[in-house]
Amino acid sequence: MSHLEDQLAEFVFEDLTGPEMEAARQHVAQCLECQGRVAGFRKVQHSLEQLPDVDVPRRMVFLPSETRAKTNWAPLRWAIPSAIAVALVLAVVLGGPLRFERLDSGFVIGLGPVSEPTQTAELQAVLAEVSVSPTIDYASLDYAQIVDRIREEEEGWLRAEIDQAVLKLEVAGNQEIQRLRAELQYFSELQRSARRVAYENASSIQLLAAQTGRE
Amino acid sequence: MALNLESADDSRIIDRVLDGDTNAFNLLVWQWEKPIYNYIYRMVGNRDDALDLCQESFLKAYRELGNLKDRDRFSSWLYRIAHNVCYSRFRKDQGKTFVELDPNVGASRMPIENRLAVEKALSQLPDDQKEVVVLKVYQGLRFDEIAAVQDAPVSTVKSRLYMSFDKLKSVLGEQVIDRGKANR
Repeated sequence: MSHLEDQLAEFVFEDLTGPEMEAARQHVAQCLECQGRVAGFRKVQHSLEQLPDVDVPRRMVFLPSETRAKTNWAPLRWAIPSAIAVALVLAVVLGGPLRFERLDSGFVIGLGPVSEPTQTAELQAVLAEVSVSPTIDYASLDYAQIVDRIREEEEGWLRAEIDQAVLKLEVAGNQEIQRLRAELQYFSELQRSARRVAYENASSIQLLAAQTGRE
Repeated sequence: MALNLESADDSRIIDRVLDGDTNAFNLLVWQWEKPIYNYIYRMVGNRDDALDLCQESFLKAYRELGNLKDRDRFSSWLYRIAHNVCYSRFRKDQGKTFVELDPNVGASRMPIENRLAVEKALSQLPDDQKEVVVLKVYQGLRFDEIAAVQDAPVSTVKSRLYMSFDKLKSVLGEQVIDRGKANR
């Protein structure tokens, strides 16, 4: 066999196959030049190996809320608004001017001329009731009733706010419980996995000891 | 003799993660966080940055796990992700001065001055050569695995290793190398 040349590193790190390793060993045993190169290489290797591994400062735990690669919808996010805009432009071009009307039942966008306002009997009655009379008698107004009414409305609003806040707290509480459950499950898995590896390692050691007759 | 238990376990765990058991990914993290953290730490030379980049690597691995073709090569794939994360940081930090590695890290029988000398010598290597040294000497990867991480031919990886060892030998000098050997 010729000198180790570019097999030097594989020889030192024992990356060669069995027969290659044996041939290299035999060559090095009788070649002073390769012995010197191997020795020099190993000195650097041993110096480097003196640096210890460091511990991870804190354990990383991934929570289930993280999601794996999903379909990327980003390019489509403008599709719906763009389609609406195109439809509106087409409608204006093909159907005439746009009209915007506020009716009892809501807000209407349509094409063509604005329709004449119509008043239903119910609307007329409401308008008659709420219309302000120039000869209003402020002395006869029941201020206590007005205050009660405002208070009722405020209390109703406050109750709705409190209900919403309670609901939010319940949801947050559930998420925290879920997170703690996930952590608990993770540590249980960790414990089981460590036991299994320890058991498998012990079995392998026993097997190796039995094979080498040093049991 | 190395017991090849981890790769079999990795494959089973990956199946579970892909089946929707997202917690199982933490088992992969538990198995690989120390080697990946040490690889990144030796590449960037700063513990806080190493932790950030390590987390980033695992997050990318989690998101891209479905794209992993050969589950038996999970470790090379993970190192490749960490490699990309490190090099992305190098590109971002180009021109900045780096802090030296922490001399108080871990317990070693090597005298502190020798450790500092070795760390300094490592930090002076070009990134691609330093990476080969870290992956070969400290992480114990095979040459073909390092080639996959660096996306380079095996012959290139080997010549990077020879060049780096020549440089380390001349930078460290016989004194440090011999003293390191004497302290083993």
